[in-house]
Amino acid sequence: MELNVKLYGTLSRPFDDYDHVTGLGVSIVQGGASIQDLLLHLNINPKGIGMVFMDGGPVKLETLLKGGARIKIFQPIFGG
Amino acid sequence: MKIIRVNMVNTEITTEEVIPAFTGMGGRGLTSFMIHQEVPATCDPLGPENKLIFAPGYLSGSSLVNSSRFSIGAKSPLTGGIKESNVGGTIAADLARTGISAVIVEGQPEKDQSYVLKIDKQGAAVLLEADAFWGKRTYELVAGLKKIHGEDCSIACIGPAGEMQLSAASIQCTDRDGRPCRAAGRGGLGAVMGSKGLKALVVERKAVNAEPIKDAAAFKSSAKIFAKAVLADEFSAEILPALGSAVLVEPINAAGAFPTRNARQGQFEDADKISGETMAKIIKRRGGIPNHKGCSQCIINCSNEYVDEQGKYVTSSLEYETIWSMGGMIGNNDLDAIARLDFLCDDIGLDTMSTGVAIAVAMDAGYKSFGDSAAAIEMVEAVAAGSDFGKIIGHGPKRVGEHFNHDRVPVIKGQSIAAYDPRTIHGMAVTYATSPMGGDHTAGWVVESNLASFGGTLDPFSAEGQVETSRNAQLHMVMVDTMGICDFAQTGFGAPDGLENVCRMVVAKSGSPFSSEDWKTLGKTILQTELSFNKKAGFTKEDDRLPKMFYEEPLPPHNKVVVISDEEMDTTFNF
Repeated sequence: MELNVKLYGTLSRPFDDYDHVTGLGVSIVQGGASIQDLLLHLNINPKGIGMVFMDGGPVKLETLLKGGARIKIFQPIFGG
Repeated sequence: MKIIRVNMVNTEITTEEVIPAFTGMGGRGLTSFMIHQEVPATCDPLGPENKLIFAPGYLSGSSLVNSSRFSIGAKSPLTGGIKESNVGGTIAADLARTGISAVIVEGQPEKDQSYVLKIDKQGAAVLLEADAFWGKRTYELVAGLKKIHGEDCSIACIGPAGEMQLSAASIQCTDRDGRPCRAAGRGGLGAVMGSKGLKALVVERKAVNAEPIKDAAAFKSSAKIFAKAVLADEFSAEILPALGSAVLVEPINAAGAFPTRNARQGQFEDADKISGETMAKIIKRRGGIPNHKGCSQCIINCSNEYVDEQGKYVTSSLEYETIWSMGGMIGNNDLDAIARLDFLCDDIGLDTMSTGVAIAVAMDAGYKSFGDSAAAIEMVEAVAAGSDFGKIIGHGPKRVGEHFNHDRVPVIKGQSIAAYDPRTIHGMAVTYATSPMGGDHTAGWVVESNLASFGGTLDPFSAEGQVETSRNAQLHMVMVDTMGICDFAQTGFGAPDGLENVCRMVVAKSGSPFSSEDWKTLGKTILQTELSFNKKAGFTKEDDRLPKMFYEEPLPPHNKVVVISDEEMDTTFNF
């Protein structure tokens, strides 16, 4: 399935041509793949991840991916 | 511990020892205790009975990283209650190194008299006439002061907004590059400084008279552990230097908690145009500095230097709350305009948050359209010009709402909310409503506790557990502000025995016992002192309520309202 993935914070650093406006086009061939599988595919450690959104809604690591979905992946935040 | 007392009536300056009850205190704890003791709670905040108190954090001026935090306290003309406004830069470390723990400015001079207070490396203070500087904006003022006092000084000062005693006036402090771009923005303390006729506080840098640390080796050991933890944390070591606090724009917007168009929506459709990611890219492309060191002792470098297309300096530092208040909150997607507004607020001496929300309320009332960044710039310039409408803006959102007879005014105790909508993050509803400081995000930031994917366990749309979480956060933050530790360096508490490690530094400095239990007890005492002042000033439970828009208007996209009852809110400080 084809996905559009946007990476926030410093997550995009390993991807040389990453464009914040267009995000990454990602192809996943594995059936029944989850957010965790997507992270594995992108070589992103789930421990360094905060919120993940799929098509505008918050999802968990075990949530199954949907073809054509727009995924946003954030790092943990702290603020003030 | 020495304090300097400056009488603005007869220009007499005295140096005295801190009374025993306040020994071992700094920052917010010291300013709040002193205000409670010396300022009549019902006084006119802009009258002679109010006092303006400057105090470095207890650990400021030491070798501890990220400890140059400056507390400025007074009765607030914006809230009518006690106020501690906290700012970075260099002045906290420099004042602490002169051996001075606090400067109390009291009384009021004859009309039209203005002064600069200069403190030299030995901690000796003198009042200098400042008529030539009155009327100056802060960047020009600082340049002029440096010609007289040299480059090696830290400055806290006011611009035209403070001189006009406007309730959203800030006190601007210089950064490591000597620019007045660090704001003690909240609470209108610039107006109090203006009412004292005090244009600037100038402190010579590089003094070596800091209060001695009783056990230097123990202090150094704990400070090293703290620094190691700050550098081991991905957020403070990698994310903040890359994007600054603006990294929060996208996740808070995605969570639907980014107050947009005067908090009519929780998501801004153009958030990606004003995000930290976009900002960092623009700064890099134009040759600015995305990871700038703004404050003494800083090892995080969350600051930045935003430049224009020609690579010319526009402002420093463009931060999350300003990007929100001058961006999403007014429907403005032009990052260059946001940067210009940030600079203007620093230069005129205005809180970017209160000013941005004031503009948002004016736009919401139909005065101008949301997204009209040119109109926003005109409104801020009108403040400096001292026009009737400019003064209304400069007094903050509440006054703007009164002017337009418009009731959608997101303030608590007269002070605006920050960049987290309380309908989407209920923990922030409690902090905004109950903090003795008025609507204030730093008083108890509980965003991460409310968002499950950040490790939080609370339902952000439910009341359950929110009061307790906010209470604990407020108790902790009052101590962080007392110690003078940067909010973002709280990752240093992530060290093994993190809180105990910080307490060991207090012990090493003071030579007296101080445990994590003492930390909590003192935090409670300071908060109770602030609440006591506010009660005497006339505050009741009714002041611990959010504006009705947050209880009645569902916020898209989640379409939720605040559901925390008044009764629950009133248990926040049941210690």
